[in-house]
Amino acid sequence: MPPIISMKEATKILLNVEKIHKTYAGGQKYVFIATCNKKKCAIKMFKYGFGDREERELSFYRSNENLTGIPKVLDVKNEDNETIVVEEYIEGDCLQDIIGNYGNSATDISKLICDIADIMEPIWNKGKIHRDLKPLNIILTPKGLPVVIDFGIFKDPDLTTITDTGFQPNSWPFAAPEQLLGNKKHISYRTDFFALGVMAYYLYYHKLPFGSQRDDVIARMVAQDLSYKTEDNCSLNDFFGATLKFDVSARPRNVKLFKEALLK
Amino acid sequence: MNIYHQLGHNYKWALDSYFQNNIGDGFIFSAFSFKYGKLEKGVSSYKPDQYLNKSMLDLQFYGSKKTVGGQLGSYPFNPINMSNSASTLVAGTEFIKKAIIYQESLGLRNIIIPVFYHEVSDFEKFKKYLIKINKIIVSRKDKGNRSKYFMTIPFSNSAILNNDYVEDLLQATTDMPIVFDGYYVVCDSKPEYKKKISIDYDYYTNLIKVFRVLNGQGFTTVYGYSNWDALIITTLCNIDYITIGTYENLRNFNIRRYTEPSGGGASKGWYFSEKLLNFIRAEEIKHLRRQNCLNLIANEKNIFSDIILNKNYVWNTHKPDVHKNYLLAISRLLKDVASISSLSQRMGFFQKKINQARKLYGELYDRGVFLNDESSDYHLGTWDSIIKTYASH
Repeated sequence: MPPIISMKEATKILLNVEKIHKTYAGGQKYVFIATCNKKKCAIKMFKYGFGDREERELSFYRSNENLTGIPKVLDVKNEDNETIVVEEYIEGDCLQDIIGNYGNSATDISKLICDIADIMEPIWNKGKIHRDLKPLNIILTPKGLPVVIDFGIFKDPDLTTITDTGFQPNSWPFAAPEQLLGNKKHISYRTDFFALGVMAYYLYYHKLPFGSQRDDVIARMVAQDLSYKTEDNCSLNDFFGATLKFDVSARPRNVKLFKEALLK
Repeated sequence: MNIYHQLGHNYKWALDSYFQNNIGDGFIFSAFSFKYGKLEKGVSSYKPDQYLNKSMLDLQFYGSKKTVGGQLGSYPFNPINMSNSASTLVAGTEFIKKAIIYQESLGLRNIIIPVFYHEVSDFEKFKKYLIKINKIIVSRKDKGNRSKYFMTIPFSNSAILNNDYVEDLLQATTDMPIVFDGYYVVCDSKPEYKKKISIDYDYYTNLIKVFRVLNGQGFTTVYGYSNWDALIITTLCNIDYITIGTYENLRNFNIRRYTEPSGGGASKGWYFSEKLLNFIRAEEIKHLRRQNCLNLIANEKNIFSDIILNKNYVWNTHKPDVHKNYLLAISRLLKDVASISSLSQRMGFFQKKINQARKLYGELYDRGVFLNDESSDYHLGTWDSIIKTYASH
């Protein structure tokens, strides 16, 4: 049985909640899909308080509200020392739930990855990095356009990051060698390029390029063995070759080269 | 691929070999050998409009305030002329900016941005310079300057052997904000005693990585002070400009040239054999002739080779034909290798050359000629292994 979560009446009044459609309990937060002020939205309440990670994510969304393809914060409220974030509701499917639509479809995968790169480009241009790109963090809208979510562990070179204090993202299936091996100084926008390379591979083959067990993948990374199997005629091979590189320096240095590899 | 003459002592020979014998595609002048203001006036019998449009200038910030040598001090923006009280990064960047503006004023299309060798061995310092100079180039380009800017990457021998340093440096030099058009790579190969080129596997693989990454990221690459080991490097990666040089200090980057007084030792000279892929000491020529083996190693269709292999030729390293034989032979070999567009075919082509050279060494031995030290086949095994390693990937 999933946990029963409910919203206090006082909170409903504070946010003008008219109807709650769905509730989710994630690892760090409760999410209520609701209608407030006649607008569908996602209300986020935080299980363990509003910490650095949440502050950072909120600050990121607020300072990038002009960008398309990332969540928009509608309101932030405080109630009983608890921070409540109201975000625009993103209608669509989580990419992880619809990967079946992409099997062996290089054209669709190319378009999707290009669209994600377009969303991320202005963010990368500022030196910021998502660090946790994976199908679970991509929502596909009914128009087929992606929205990149969960900037909770994004890296801003101008700030001390939460991962500098020891925490490392544990989405190992899509993580780059520099993340898995704890080589923090090498984490850059090209770390996101690697994750998108793995994502493209995963969408095409429905399996991961370097193995399905964390320890095996890490052992491969330690050995700098990033070989993977692919069909000779797969039109994503150039993209896999360009992004799935152990050396960060050898991955495309900008979005133009990244896309060129994708569209070859 | 273009072949540029790295010009230094007795530069007339290299200039003549271009203008009279069609060897090479252009020149890299060096501040060490050309006094400030000389390039604008003409060198040897050649006028600036004959060479400047196909030239680069290495202002050689390799030394320091205490540096020694040549004409470096005649350049007001050379590190020799830096005040002791100046902050190195601020003053250094100002000197570099002046060096860029000077080259622009000469009308050079390709500008080599000098950097301080001793500063950049510390990666964090190099990165600071890289970011500061990149901003200068952004500004030059914004002002409509259409020159191409090549940042210098000077590798000390310990740096090129350090995998972490090489990767850090490549990440920084290929980072998204970088606007340089390319890189001028110079590298201290530090050959072992009685050897002329390196046989260190890491030296080759890291240098090949440098060129592969820079080229793959769309940068134009210039390999300065390259020796004939450029053959194996060209076999495994695409380089846009490779240099050829007459004297050893133009073929082998060595920081000591800029820090200690040095002079060429006594030498009768060398014979570069395309077939052996190596230099043979002039002293060995007599024995090769005696054993009737000269025809086995002689370069074909090379008038300079014909001259210096003549039995009456008096060998001396300070004679132009000795050097022109090398310039013609190495430029032909480099062009032959680089003209093959497929890297795998290139590897096959050059491996065949290595095998032929090794076989020839064996044949010479069978005929009573044992070439040792620098003249031996000490490097061919390393080259062969390197090709095999890359071919298996």
